[in-house]
Amino acid sequence: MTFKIDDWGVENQISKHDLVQIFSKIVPDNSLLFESEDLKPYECDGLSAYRQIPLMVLLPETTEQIQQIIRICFKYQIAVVTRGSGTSLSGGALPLENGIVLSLAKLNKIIEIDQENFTARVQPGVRNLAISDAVSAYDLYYAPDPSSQIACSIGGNVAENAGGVHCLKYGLTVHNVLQLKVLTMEGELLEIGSEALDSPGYDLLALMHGSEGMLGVVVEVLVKLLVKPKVIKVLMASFDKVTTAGETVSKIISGGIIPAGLELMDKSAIKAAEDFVHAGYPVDAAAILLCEVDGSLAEVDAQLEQVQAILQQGGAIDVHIAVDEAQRKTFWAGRKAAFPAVGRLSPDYYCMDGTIPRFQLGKILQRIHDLSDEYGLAVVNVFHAGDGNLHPLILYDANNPGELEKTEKMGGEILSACVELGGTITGEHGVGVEKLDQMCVQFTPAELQQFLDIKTAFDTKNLLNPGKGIPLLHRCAEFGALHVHHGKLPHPELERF
Amino acid sequence: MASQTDTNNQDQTDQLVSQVRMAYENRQALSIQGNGSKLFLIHPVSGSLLSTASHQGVINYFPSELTITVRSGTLLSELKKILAEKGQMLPFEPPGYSEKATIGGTIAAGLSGSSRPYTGSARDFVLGCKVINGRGELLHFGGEVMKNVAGYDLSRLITGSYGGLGVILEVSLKLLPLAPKQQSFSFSIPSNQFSHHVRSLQMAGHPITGACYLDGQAYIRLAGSEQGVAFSYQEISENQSPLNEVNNSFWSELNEQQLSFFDHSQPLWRLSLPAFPAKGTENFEQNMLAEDKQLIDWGGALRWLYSNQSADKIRQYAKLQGGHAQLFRGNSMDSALLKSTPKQQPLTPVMMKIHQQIKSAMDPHAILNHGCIYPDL
Repeated sequence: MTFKIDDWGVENQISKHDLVQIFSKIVPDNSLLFESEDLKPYECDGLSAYRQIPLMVLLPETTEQIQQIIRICFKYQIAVVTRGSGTSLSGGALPLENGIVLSLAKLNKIIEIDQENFTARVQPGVRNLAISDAVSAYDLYYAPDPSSQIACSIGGNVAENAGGVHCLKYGLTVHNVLQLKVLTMEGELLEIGSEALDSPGYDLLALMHGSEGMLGVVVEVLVKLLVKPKVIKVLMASFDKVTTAGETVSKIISGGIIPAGLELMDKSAIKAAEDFVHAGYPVDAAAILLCEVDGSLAEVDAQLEQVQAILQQGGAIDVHIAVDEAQRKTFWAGRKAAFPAVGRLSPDYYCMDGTIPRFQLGKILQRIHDLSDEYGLAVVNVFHAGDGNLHPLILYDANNPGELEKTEKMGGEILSACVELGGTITGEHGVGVEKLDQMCVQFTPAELQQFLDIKTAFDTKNLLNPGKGIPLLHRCAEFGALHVHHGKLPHPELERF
Repeated sequence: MASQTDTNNQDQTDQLVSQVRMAYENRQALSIQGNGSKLFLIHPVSGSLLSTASHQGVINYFPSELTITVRSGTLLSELKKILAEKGQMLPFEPPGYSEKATIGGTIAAGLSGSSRPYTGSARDFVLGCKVINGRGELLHFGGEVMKNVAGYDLSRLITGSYGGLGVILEVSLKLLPLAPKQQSFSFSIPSNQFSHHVRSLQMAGHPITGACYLDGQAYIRLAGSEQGVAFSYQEISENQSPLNEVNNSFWSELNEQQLSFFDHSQPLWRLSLPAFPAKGTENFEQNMLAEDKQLIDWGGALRWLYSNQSADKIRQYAKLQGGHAQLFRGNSMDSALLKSTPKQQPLTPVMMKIHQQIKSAMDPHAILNHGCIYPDL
């Protein structure tokens, strides 16, 4: 569906025709798209339920071109939606009707690999997996591994603070980046962070991560590399109850073990993945846990023994250690292919991204189960169990009138339940356009206003990805989820309802 | 105003909020402090005292979740004790510099100890916080879960901001289990081979959580399972002998600056640099004065330097190498010079501008620890 998003009232001060004239002097013809058939591929990102044709698309090849483009946009008040590979699952790169899409896909070079300092300097359009591939010969790798890592770009990873299956032990993007070069909306180049492990002043490096392209345009990234573990082993444990699997996760962590990866899949996810990639999953089990440990041979042996004992005591009906590297990869292939596998079960699916404290897993699964019954929509659960990040996939058919709306409503209820249980509405996919209403549930107006003030500190005219990430207060008032403390409505000067 | 009679109440939220709100309304500067153990790291702040020292207590501790939420006045030493009882720790090994150091001050200073390159920094382990901004508003950012990208990451921004962006009331931290086994040892090696050596130990997959260099000796700490550490120790000792046993308390003495190295009287500088500087940049050892003394930590990425050389020279060097220099302790530095020397490496004008805009977004009347890092911030 075409979704007109609130672009915070940005009003262009120039015609499309004149803008094309100006931009054609900055970038080559093949880097400037403005005919509707050329714009079509950019109408959505990974959240394809929302679509909007942008005013035009620019594909600059250098930082200097980006700088010139941004300065023009600043001068004529044109909103800028920066796009990497367009794999966002929250509509972070959804175009605006009167804004440009700034695609950084052509900035895809690895500038330098520093084997001594364990770093790689890369352009923002470099794919996540391409970094690990490029440094593999040196026995190094880049740790964050979102499931879309074959396609997603490092610039987008920074914008969303992407995670993956290994972040319990090795951290999110924010833990694995040392420096960013960022252009502000006024076209000034900021060097944030450094080649050293810290920097003077405020931690702007942390602030940029997960800021969804609203504070600046990332034009270069210095990532930290890790030494490949000498030995990696993965265990697969099957359970006859999902909740038993969930409780076992807490027991592993209480046992003092930080697995490299700890993933939970429920029965429907197991079946979908098994049908799709034949990973050797037990299709009769109610849930499986995939637990990966890594380190030296002695370390891994010690941990394997401990984990195996915990799994068996925890009630696993079967524990299987991948016999070789090929089987280990197959076990993971099933998990990583869970989304496309579910795509074969249903015409459409809607991927949620709530996070909860792990001990609430039983409660949230029950709630999801109840909502599934109530709405009559099937749900498949994959879960980064180690760090409490849930990805319930709601199955629906967009061709059935009203079903998308129903799905979104149900998804909203799942996220509200995550907040009630002490969690958050998004662990790693970002707010984008998708979770703006749930932001009103999670944050008070004063908190939202603080976010908006931070945005304005970087982007005085609110031209960078406006309408994403942070809801304006009037939206929350309309959504009806405004926090009212002690009977006092905050910011009484604002118009409401 | 909250009741003043309830003296046993460790929750001072209401009092602290109303104190900041009043200060905002009256445009009255505040000097925010815990127990003042790290005041030497900032420029003196004028203003009435806002103390978080008695705002104490653990709010939530879920060992199985690896998270804890505590009030900012809680003593760091107390917190470490609570965690150790459950076999857990603060992974960033923060220095306290005093038995009275609070967790609020620890996060406000954002300092990390010797494990920093291997397990992460203070901000890496901050999951959420409750703060009072400069308008006297009580705000909650982040949470108690490992992954959270809802809203901008203001809890990590506030870490290391020395109170200038908000009064920290509560902080939620990610924890790690204490390793079943830690083992430390030293061996002699020329200083120019130290970083290379640490790097080769990392490449070999050894579980290093500390690597420093002092007086001709490399000090290494391994941490992991009994078997893993024994295996690594054996392998290292076969290639590098003799290894001298070192008590694990060496690392806390290093972090707390209690080693005899820290007895010098010259100004103490903290240089954060890439372990391997870019080719062609000069080696600082060649530029050192006869009386300059240094201790290298973080496998080469951190240098503690006692030196009477000018701030400009030290900072120029640090910048050339891709890092920065902080005047950590003035010690015998002339008091007028101490006053006029910025504690932290000066920012570029464009970075200062964005810092000021952020400060103004959080603290529009500049009442919170104004000027504590830089005069104009």
